[in-house]
This record gives sequence, structure tokens and C-alpha cells, in this order.
Amino acid sequence: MEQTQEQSGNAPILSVTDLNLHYGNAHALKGVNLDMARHQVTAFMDRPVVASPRCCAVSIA
Amino acid sequence: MNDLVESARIDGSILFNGAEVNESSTDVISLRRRIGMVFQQSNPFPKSIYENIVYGLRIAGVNDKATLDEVVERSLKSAAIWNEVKDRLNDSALGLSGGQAQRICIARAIAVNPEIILMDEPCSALDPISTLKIEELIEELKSKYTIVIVTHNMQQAARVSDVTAFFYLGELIEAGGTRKIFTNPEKKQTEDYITGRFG
Repeated sequence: MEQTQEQSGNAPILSVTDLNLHYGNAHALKGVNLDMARHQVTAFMDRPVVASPRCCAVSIA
Repeated sequence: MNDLVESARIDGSILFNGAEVNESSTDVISLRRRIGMVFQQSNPFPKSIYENIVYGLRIAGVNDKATLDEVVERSLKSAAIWNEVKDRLNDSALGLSGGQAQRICIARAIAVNPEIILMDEPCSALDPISTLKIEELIEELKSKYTIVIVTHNMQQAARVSDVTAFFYLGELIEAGGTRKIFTNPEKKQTEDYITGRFG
């Protein structure tokens, strides 16, 4: 994976834009926009029975 | 991972250091090295503690014993488990407690020097004391790594995170500084959730 942006500074290490994830007819992520900063802890939080934060994490990996 | 699910469809953009993650040209092996994962259920490999930690390095072709020894010690120290296992590195990792096994998995993730560690409910299968150790570890690790933690535990999000992103039925309702999210959220759905009106 080539790096097209300087790693230092305040640029987000992860930048999610208008992310949609479908599993068949299930719309698991709906237009998610989120930047994540370096050396910070970002918590994805949802109700216990819902898996959207996990979907978001799995999409990244 | 979603490539393995036939019905999965993803659109939009995920930039990691400015480069698109979902491009077909992305080197996924390099991506896995740079973004480590720790899962809900600890998953030590059926190998020794030592071989668990060096697994990623061996795949990358590193076999120099001095290098591997140094990485094992550094990774286990970083994961706050060195003192508990340093005298039994050749024992099976399957004989460890749940909390120890989860810290071994964190050490294994650290060993390849990732930039991001994704943690998917890393404490949900652990007792309160082991949970506290993992949470303290997260606080220490963020000086070297960027951490994303999935949690359904509001108290845990409040304790360990700098930023909280609250999702509801697939939508990102609100994201911001954790203190603000928990004391003065902008969205009613967020307030209703953190005050226990639903959940």
C-alpha cells in the first residue's frame, strides 16, 4: 500500500467517508463519516445486541 | 475480511494514511501488518508463548534468534505480561488464563509493530481484574499506537477512550470527545442512550 499523504502532523490516520456496508438486504453501515486521530483511543459504541461498530472495525481491516 | 462473505457489499472510502483500503491493488498482507487486531475471544495459537509472539515475524522471514528474543521480551513487556510468563516462554499459550491469553494476543499484535490496533470487545469475556489490566494497558499503548476499540460497555468507553463514536442501527449518530459525549451530547439519541432511556 503506497502512502499518498504525509504521516506526520495532524492528518487523520484513518478517514472514513460515506461508508455503506450491506450484507444481502441488511444495511449494516449507513453513510458513516469519521476521522480518527493518531495516538488516540477511539471507542465505537452501540447497544449490546447491535453489531454496527464491529462492522465498521471489520471494514477497516 | 468481507471478501469472504458473498453477500457483502461495501462502498464509500476508508483512507489509511491517505491510501484507500478497499482498492483491489492494496497489499492486504502489508495492511494486516500495519493494522493489528485483537478479538473478543482471545485466540492464542496452539503453540508456545514464544512462538505465538514471533509468528508474524517468522512469516515475514525473520528467523534471527537474537532479534526474535528481543521482540518477544519487548512485546510481552509492552503488553504487561512479561513478569508472569518470562520463566515459561516455551509452555503452551493454551494453558494461560483468559486475561493472560488476551494480553498474549495483544503482545502478538504489537510484535509486528503496527500503526493501529483494532480491539473488538477485548474485555467482554474477562473478569473485572483482567479487564482493569487490559484497560490500563490501552492507556499505556496509545503513546505508541492508534487504538480503535469496539465496546458495548458505556463505562468502558468513558474510562479508556479519548473519542467516542455512538452508533445506532448502522448509523453513526454522533462522534466527539468522550467527555463531551458523556456529559453534553448534541444528539437526543445519544443522550437517551447514555442516560439509560433505551439500550
